[in-house]
Amino acid sequence: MNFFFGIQNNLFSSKLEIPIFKNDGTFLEETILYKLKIQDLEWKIEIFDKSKKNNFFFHVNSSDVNNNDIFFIGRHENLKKFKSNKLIVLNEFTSLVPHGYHYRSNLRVNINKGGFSSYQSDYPYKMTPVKGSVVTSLASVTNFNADKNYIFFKNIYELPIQENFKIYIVDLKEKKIKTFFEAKTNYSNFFEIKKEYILPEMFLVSKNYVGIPIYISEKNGQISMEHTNPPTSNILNSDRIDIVKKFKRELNEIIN
Amino acid sequence: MKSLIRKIINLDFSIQVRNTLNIIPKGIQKKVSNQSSTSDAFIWRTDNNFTTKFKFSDILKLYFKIKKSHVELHFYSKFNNLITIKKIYDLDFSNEVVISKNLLGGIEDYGVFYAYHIMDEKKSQNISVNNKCYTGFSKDKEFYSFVHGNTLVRTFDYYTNNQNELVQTSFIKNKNYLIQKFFYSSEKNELFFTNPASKSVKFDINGKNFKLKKGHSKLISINDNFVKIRSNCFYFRPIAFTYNEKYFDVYHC
Repeated sequence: MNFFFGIQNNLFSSKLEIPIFKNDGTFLEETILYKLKIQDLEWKIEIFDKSKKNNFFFHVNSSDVNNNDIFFIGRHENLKKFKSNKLIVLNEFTSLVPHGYHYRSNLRVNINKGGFSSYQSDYPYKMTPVKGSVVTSLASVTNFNADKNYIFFKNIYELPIQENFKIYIVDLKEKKIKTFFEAKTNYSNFFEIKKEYILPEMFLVSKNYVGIPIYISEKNGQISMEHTNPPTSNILNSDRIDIVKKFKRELNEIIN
Repeated sequence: MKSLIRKIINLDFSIQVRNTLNIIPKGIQKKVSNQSSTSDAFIWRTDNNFTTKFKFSDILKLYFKIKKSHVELHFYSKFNNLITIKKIYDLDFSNEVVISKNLLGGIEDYGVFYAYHIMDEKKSQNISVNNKCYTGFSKDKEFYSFVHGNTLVRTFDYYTNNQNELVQTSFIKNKNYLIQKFFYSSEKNELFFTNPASKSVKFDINGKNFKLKKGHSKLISINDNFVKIRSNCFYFRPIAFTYNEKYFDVYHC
């Protein structure tokens, strides 16, 4: 099961197109787009299928996107399983199947000056119970020559809480913390990255909570948005999990 | 006996039969060498004033603490002709290469390249890495729109120095892929396809037929809001370029 999300602030707006079909062409009958939000330390669910387009997509306009709410698709009968104190798997419509592809929405970010960028996005359920650390190279998809570079760090955590956690910029050569940001769970966190940190030795390291690190850069209204791949995707060894753990430990020792 | 059966069902031909009949299909050849470097088929573009930038990590240094290595970029034309091999030494944790027409001998076109991490000294330990790093595309040579690598396409075996494709095919077009994206008619959209397999790929886009030989790539303009691709190849997904007035966007589909 996947969740879908957007971002909204004074610089960027976003909209979502959530498909009602799998990549293999299977259409999901009688599906409803639901919105989840946190209220009084509980997950609140509401129906949000007001603008289905051509029976292919649920369309979520920028006026309906904010940094807190998340979306998923399901059927009415799935709600019997819904729990307000914890996210659980309500259906398998959007789950990954063998030899299949991730079920993704199109998240399109626009800047007031006119540019746009999109990526096929999803937040898999299996990430929501995870507490841990995300490590990613800061230089990978940022633009040194951009007017501005930003990190958009999306976390969805299973419990209906908005807890603060830190995201560090770490210099791997000097083994030093360069700066940090205060992020929160169940939120589309957004921070500007100063140019001085866009160097090969700089890594972004989150503490206690994982998430999807998405980088946005902007110059003269043209924008670039892309997420980075997790470190395990760089290794095919059978012991790749241990190799990445060791690498993460090296960076976590700097922030602890 | 069991090992003989296993050998037979994993022959190239047998895999194609399995994939055609959808009996225990196999999308990717998982038996990558214990000492190898695998790469996506990354796009380069120098056509229509594009410049490409490739950003990559020194994977061997970051995860295996190997200090003496280099990266080889093997550039191919859209018809799979080797253009040049660039070797990059003195690697930092993160590195970048600008791919302009000057780098490719003045060629203004498009194609693919493969990025291999090569150890300068032989090691006995198992080291199998995969480059799924990032390509950026620019019209002004200053600001790049980035997209990440996605698929394991070609692997370089450190023992044999051979390169092999990993993605598997079937005899018929029985793989459907409906792109989960609405393409607006008000925008210009191009889809970039590369053949990730060692066999020819036959495919159609909303019924219009195409064919890509081994290593070939093709940029196709589309005018449809919805795109259905039918092919004989696993993991056959395009990268999209969308243009709206003076802005453009690049993303995986």
